[in-house]
Amino acid sequence: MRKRTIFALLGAMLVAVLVIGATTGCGSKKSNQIKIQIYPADSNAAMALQADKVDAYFADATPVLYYMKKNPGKFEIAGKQIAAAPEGIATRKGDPLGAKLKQAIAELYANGTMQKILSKWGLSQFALSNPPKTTPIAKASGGTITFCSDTTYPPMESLVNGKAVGADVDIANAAANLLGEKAQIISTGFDVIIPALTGNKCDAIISALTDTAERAKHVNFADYVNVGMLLMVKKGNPAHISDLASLGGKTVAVEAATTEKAALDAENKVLAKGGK
Amino acid sequence: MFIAVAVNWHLVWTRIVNPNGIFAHALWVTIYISIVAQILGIALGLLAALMRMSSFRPFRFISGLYVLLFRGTPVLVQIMIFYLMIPGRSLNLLLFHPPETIAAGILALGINEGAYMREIFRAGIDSIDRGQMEAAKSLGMRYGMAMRRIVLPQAARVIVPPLGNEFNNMMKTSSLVTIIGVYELFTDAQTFQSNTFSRDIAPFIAVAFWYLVLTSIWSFIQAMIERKLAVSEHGDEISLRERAVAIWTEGGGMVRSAWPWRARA
Repeated sequence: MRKRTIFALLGAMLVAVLVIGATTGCGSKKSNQIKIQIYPADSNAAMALQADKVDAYFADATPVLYYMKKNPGKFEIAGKQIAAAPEGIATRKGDPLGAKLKQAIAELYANGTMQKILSKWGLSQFALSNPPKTTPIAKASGGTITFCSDTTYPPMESLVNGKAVGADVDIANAAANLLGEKAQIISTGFDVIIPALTGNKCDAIISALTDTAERAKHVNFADYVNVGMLLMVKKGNPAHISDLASLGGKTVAVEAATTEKAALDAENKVLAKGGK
Repeated sequence: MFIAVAVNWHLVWTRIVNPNGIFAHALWVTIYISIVAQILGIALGLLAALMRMSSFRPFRFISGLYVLLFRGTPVLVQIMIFYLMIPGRSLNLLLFHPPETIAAGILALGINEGAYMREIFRAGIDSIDRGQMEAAKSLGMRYGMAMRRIVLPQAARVIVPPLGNEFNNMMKTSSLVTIIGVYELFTDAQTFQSNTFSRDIAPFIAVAFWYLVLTSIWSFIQAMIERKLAVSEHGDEISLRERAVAIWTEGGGMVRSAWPWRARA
């Protein structure tokens, strides 16, 4: 081949790439499927809605209500709370710490500390209706319990001036205190939080982690609140979103590896079966 | 040091030979972003290099400021800035409307790349004897024509190898756009991995393999271009095969005796 032929071929390949990319909008097809935008941190997903990049932001009720309160008049909630489920502190399978934390949570509910913490962060409605029964706790000797936490999730946990704060942080401190130990929060990406625990990077997870059957196969849960999922949209609900089914063809921002992401995947399967 | 490695090799194999449907889309987005960003980078780099050599002082200043700003700041920060700067859901380019996440990724990576390309172009053009330009001018060529016909074709030989390196880098750096929610190769692997709830690194080994495929294909294309550009160096060419395997040889593949099959040439 001559020099010119080679360059003409390469040029033609380039033009083909550009044209195909341009005409297909880089592969994004119009369909009844939900366009799921996955962000590594929940704060990025919430930011996407604030910047009007997506039609809805889908997360636990806790951060959604928090963002609503922080930005009055800017957003609204579309539809009702979906699939309320317990969130728990996760520990490794077979680790006695799990049973101790369960005892601690029961004690926190019994002595009113839990209610105080939840009310401090405006989360009273998420308290367990049937808190576990208390049993005597054997105090340990002043060690440290390290908690993995995805600190991008206010009001449960977020970083303020480099320090982890939030309801989960307070609960971790109170629970560790009851056990005669100190709590230390380790910021961890949510998508790797369970491997981080099983890989001994921390002793427990406190990160608004929903207690699902799938996750319970890998870790033990000590449940402490009961939280559902909420869809947050711009004021006036311009995309007319009312529930998961109404998200077909819309763009939704979620954090990676969340129950919300799983719920959207499941809904997409339903939408695919239902045809157009 | 003890590193517990639990790799599900069956999963690695499955992810490589039988990836799911969305994988093709993710692969395509990665290729598209890298190619378009590199083209943008080359255009901007050439422009900035010519501005840098201009006798008009403000041009030189703009070129310097461009490199200072975009080579001196992390590309991750730039991606975030472009993402938030572009309003709405898509970038309106009259003919077509790319999703703004992809557009932001391309712009940030391309403009960042341009700052590095400027230095590569400048070095390439500097390597050509000034006499070449003077001779072209004395033949009555204007600056633009002399640049196009005389200087740049010769400089290309110096420019292409580092340009290829930059593109190799670009394909790998493009994984950073995952932070603004672009579904590309890395996001695909990450999503898959997070669904396993385990420390299994299989999805990442598989995605590393796919990046390796992309960069290997490019290395071959680059070797082809370099060979074609070298035809003017009569008697000194090395074969395509030698260029393609250059990274394995001592002396960067330029050592003839290292390869017995050179004897036939």
